[in-house]
Amino acid sequence: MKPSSHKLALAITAVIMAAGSASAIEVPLSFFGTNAPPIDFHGFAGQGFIVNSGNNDYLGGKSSQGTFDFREYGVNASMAYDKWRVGAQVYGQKLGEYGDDQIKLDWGTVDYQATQWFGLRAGRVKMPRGLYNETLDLDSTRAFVLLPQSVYDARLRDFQASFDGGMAYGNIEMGKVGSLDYKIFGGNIPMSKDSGASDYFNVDAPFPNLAIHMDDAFGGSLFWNTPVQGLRIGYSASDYQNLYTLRYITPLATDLYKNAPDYIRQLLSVEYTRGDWVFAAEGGFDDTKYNVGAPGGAPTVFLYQNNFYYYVSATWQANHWLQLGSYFSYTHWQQRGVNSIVPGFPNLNQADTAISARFNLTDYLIFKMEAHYMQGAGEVFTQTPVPSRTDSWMMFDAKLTFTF
Amino acid sequence: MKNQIHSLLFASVLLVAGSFTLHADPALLGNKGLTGQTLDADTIKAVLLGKKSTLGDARVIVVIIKASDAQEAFLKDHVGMTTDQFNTYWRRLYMTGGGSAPKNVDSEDEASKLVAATPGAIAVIDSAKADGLVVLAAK
Repeated sequence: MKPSSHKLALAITAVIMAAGSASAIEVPLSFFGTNAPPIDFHGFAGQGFIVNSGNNDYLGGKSSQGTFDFREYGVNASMAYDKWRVGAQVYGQKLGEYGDDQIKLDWGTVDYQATQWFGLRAGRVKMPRGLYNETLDLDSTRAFVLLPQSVYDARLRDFQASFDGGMAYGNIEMGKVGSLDYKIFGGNIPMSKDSGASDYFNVDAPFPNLAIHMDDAFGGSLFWNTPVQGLRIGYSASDYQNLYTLRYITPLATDLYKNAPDYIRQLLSVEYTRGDWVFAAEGGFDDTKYNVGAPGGAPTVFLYQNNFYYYVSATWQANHWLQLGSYFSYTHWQQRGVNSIVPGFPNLNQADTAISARFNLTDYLIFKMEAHYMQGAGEVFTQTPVPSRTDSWMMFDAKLTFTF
Repeated sequence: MKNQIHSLLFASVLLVAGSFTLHADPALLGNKGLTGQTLDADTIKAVLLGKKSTLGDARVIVVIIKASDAQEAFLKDHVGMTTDQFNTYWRRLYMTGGGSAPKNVDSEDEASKLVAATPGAIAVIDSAKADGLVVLAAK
């Protein structure tokens, strides 16, 4: 019998507290009679709590009542030899009703770095997007409990954390002008109708998806490490091809598909590190045309969806054990019908002003507290109908994380 | 009287001089197997940030000291990071399949021993402790 979520939350917290002084694990292979390099093991476990005011159940759970359904954990193993590196990480998560503590492969790659300017990575690869997408799950790498949700929506993890395919990458020196980091990828992303991504793609109407899938995903990122020490500027883009959802529309008593031949996402990023301060800002734009129709038939309705979103943030490492941070994050979702027969959709907006404190209890154990002031509830999914959402509300979250 | 003043002055100078600890400059030091490698500023940055994973035939292993003034100064000059930021940078890499984890040690002496014993290892250490190690770059 599966343990209750509360018991699991308590168990994870106890393990985290007990393990607060552990260090990384290295397993030498020499005693097997080989001269192979050792295998490195690392991992993390984080247990959190979210509660918000108002009638909004945000981030997939009963957060309006307070919930401990907010945790993630992972273990990875890797080995490097010459220009090769292999590794993999398994991961589990509970975020409200998403994740369900199912253990999955987060990433698993074979990597060959031929030169500084060219390498190849294949397998299940972390998705390069913006400043922090590849580290969505790594509490230990940031001050915030939640990254700015306008760009890094925690519910979209299944959609944007990793892809199955290949990536070329490298760093190109440009002398006095700095250097460029590039990543170009292609592959596909398995999707589940029970995921946050599935709910995200039907925010226009409160009918759950019966199916969701896409063909392929392509994209990349390009970052300029400027001659100004600590300043980097980047651009990321991705194209998800034939993004398809199918749902039963109750008032029409029929199934309808919604298909985007190309779902395009673009993101501009800038980060400046100076001493104990890190400043960051990112702004993005999603642009797509949807074809809507009955299964097996030609589309009869066409929708244009244009979302833009951005955040600005600052963090300050006050001393070795305390880091403070704050951000303002904004999302605007807009969908319009091309034909006059399509009803108007309300714009969905949400602004989030957050302030965070991170405490390094030991080298491996961190505790964070965070408060958010929200204006608008556009990012609350359709489990809470739009008319009953609270427009001005507060959210608090806290998290204890162990990393080794 | 004059001799006493001279003696007092001389003693004062000795006291002040004795209050300074003699430090050599920080340097990027490597395992003996990296002999012949000399790194310019761009290569130092590329190696420390994992963008260049090999030097010659050796895979680079970065050794990070928990707290070291020499390391702090060197990192600030060459990659614009504090030690905490440098550790966070590497964690982002090795926890996402983007690099091999550095080795963390508590002191410069431990770093020196580890670099001496590990092919491809590098660390920022006070150059006065460079015995048996290769100087890849001075401050």
